[in-house]
Amino acid sequence: MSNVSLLDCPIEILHHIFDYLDTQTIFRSLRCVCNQLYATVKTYNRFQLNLTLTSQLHFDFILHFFSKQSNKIHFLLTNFDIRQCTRLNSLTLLDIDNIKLDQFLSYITVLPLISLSIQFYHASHRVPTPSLSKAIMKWNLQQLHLINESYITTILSWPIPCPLNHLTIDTCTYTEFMYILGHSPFLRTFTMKNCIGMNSAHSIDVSYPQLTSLIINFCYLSFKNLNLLLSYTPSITYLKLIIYGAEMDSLFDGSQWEEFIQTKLPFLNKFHFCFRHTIQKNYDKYISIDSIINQYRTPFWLEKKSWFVTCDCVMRSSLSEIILYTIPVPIQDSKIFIRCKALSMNNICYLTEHALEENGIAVSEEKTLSTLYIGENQIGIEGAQYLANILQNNTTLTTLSIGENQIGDEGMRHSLYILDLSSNRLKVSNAQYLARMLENNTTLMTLNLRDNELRSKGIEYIAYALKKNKTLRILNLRFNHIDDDGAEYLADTLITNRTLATLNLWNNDITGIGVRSLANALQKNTALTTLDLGRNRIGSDGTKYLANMLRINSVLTILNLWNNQIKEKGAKYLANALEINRTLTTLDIGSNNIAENGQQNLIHAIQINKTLTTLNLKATPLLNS
Amino acid sequence: MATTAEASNTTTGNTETATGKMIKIQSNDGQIFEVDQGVVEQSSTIKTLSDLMDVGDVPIPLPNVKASILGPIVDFCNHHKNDQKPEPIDEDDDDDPNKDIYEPKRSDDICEWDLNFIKQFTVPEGTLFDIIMAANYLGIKTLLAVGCKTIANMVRGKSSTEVREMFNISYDPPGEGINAPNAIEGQAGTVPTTQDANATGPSPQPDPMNQ
Repeated sequence: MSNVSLLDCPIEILHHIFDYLDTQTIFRSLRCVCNQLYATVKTYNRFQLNLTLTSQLHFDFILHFFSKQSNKIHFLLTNFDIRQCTRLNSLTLLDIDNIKLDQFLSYITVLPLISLSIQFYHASHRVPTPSLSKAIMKWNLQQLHLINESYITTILSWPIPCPLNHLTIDTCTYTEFMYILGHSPFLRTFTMKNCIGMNSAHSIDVSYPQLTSLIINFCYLSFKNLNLLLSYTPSITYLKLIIYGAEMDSLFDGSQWEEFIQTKLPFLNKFHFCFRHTIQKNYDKYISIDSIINQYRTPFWLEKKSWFVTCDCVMRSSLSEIILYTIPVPIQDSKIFIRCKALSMNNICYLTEHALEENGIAVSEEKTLSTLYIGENQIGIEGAQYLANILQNNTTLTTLSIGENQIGDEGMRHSLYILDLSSNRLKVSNAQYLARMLENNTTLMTLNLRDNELRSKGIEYIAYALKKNKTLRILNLRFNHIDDDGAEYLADTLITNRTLATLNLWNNDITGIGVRSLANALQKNTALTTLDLGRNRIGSDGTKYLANMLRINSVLTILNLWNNQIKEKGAKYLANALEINRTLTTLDIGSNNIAENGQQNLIHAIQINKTLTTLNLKATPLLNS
Repeated sequence: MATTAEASNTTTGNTETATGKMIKIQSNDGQIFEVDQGVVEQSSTIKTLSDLMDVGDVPIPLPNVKASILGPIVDFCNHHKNDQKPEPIDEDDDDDPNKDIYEPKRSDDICEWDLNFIKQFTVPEGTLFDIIMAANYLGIKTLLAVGCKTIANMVRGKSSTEVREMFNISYDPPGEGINAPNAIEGQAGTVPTTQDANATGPSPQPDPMNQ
């Protein structure tokens, strides 16, 4: 137990607490608590005061009740005499036009302003404002921020003979950049949104060593143009670059940056950047984010400078992007997107899912995924290629479902257990990627490739890969236009494969010839327990091979032959086999035009067979008995 | 990161091996704690004292901190000694483009461990202020920030009456006028109009804005 209370805290601690509070709480609540806090608030000088009087409606409302005056600036200043704020050293004026600014400035030149921020009313562009120039000189202003304002050399009669060391403007032309730097001997921090009108032919041999910080917040500069721009500012210690529509080749190249910084910017110790590159649809050149991030894993980046870079691939329905950054920039234009992160610090690739709130502003959550479901997102071939690449290094994901994404390519490995690529328009060429992945994969247990267009040629690759694969247990190939050739490839694999337990070939083009190969293979196979051959064209002859297989096979428990034109003859073969088979528990031979005799044979067989529990004869014209 | 911490250790530890050097600190009620360089680095006071005194085995006395507070502080520093060092704050404030805009600092970024840590100290027992003042005295910026943020989070949006109750502050006699019943309070969340801004400090009390 201790008797210390809030009021025992020294004043600097109380001020420290105030730093975390809004002005309203400090002013209206804490200040009124007691005399001591009142005194403490009185000595506090780090307030931010927001006078929202520039709102037209608000202003008119107040005018209506309290004043007949129409001059708002005058009204404001008579009611709230800003000149009494003798300690005011930072002032922000929003939505002001240059006439009002003129009036206002003449009032406030007595204030000890150090910093002034102005956002002009949109219609008042490009008018020279001599009063501002004068006021800046009067104050010896150090910081000037022109918010959303691009025409600085028009508004101000530059050069301004004052120790301005901090300047913020919107868009700056190359000529202005050079002019301002050339005429501002004390300028140390220069913030701009964009620099335009760059032409490397203009290159001249000067440097402006006064500048120590350069911030460019929203530009489209190329590496070459940046090189030129930065060659004029060799002394900068802080550089911030946010670049949209970045070129893939040079800007992202860590080794080029490394060389450039070492030779041209020796004092740079803070380098914040974010380069965003949009992946073009049908863009043929593929660059893996691993190869990008690898260049930022050198001792220069990690040890000498301690600049830790992250490379993201952001996948969403509208467009996919590669983002290379040290400071993340929020992405706002899509509700849900998947972000793959590759960090320079380690070799793990993180997959995160971002869900944006309805208004599209706040990123409500970011989580590392163990299950990834990105169905119906139209990620397309470009995104999928990156996804595939990322999955090679991802160690967190265990389930992936990317159905209906029009993905062309795939290739994933490691700790993924389930891969669902159904309805993805996968074609033969894609099967090659898949096959390569399957050959070396040691974790994938389920592969769903239903409703694609792999055809027999594609199955050849997959079947070949499955000869080596020792983990896949479930393979779904339903509706892939597989014919007898494909069945033969699969049969060839099933002779030796000892892990595949379920094979779904529903709705393909396999006839008796293909089934013959499969049946032969299954006489030797000891792993496959479920075989779905529904909706093929097996026919009575094909059924004969299957029936022969069932006499020998002792592992298959489920066989689906729905809608295969087995007919009475086929049913007879099966019935005979069932009298011997001791493992099959489910047989589906519905919709097969089995006539009365065939059915009777089956009934007879069931009476002998003790293992079959389900016999489906749906859509069969039934016997009377 | 660990490498930089070790590098700075070598500059301070000139006699013994830098990493293994332990320092003893003593609370005002006599309890001695042994801490390593990772902890010392976080407290500017202990660091200055240890550099100044070049102590061998003699414990550094910390007359303003008692053992019941120093113990948890050592835990706190031990937990945070491998944290990534925050970017060195540029002494030259002018170079920060946002420095002149006095926005309240963030106070919702206390990490979970720190939240749990600070929970063991309370206002009624006074220990929360003990820890804040000790952090201030010892020059442990991270801990001071956690403490101040905690207080800030408690009072944000509260009325004067609630703040008084929260911290057991007695209501001053209304001599100053500031505590008069008509003083505006309990509206901390609303946007002030000019009239309000003027009215906040009721006359005859001069408005602090005009000081």
